Amino acid sequence: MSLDVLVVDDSPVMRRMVRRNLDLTGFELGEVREAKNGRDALDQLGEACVDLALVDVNMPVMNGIELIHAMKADARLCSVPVVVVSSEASAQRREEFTALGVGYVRKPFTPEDLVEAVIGALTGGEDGTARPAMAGSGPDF
Amino acid sequence: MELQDQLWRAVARTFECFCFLVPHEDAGERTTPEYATAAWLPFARVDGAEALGKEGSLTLRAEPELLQRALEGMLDDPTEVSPQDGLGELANVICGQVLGDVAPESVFDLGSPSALDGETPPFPAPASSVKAELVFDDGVIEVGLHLPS
Repeated sequence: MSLDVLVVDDSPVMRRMVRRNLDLTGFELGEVREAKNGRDALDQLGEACVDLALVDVNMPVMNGIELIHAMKADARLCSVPVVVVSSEASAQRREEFTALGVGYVRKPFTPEDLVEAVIGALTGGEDGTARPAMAGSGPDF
Repeated sequence: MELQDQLWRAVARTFECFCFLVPHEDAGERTTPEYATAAWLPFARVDGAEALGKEGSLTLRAEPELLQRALEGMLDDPTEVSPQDGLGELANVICGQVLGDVAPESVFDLGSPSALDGETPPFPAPASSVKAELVFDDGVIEVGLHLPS
């Protein structure tokens, strides 16, 4: 079963980097979509749901926190696992991420860091059910 | 840890994670760097403790061969982005990392990276600057943290 992913970041360079790191993780990837801000992400999620969203925080138009709140308020999107991918490291932000029930990986990250955060998000859903989205026996480094 | 060391470590970690490049611990003897691409971005504290003042900026200047190697490590196809955009993104990540390390109780808004003319950013006008240089096999990169009075 492949993993459809939405990468949300205002930087096209970072979107490509996240995408490349996803390729390096060993996950079997389906469609990888890109959105340049939270509003763009919601528009895309209205067209097609995904198995995972990787979300930056600081973005124009609609930032990552606002996007996550909007997803949590939408019955169709509230169960989509989210990993915040950000250089934000303040204690306040980390507490906010925990309260929102989302994963977190700090930039800069290694593919191993990304794997750990993604697996945590995929297996730590509200129902506690692991989602069988990894290829074969999973990532192998 | 001194601010200069924190800057050095932030750049080293970013280059190691994203570009698979490791700086020399000992810079040794070398010629004066010829920086071809430079980026800066402003930041402003929006919440939390006043560890670094209200605002400031970070600069990043890189020699061309090193930047090219860095982009090759970061991306499948480094020709997809300009060296300026690539350096700007590295500056963004390094800035977030430094601020998080130096002022973990504060929340900052980071501006968008821009091309830098000269050595110091135009805004906000800095009163003090801390800089660190990192030497790699393929060249040198300089990071600067600039704070108003």
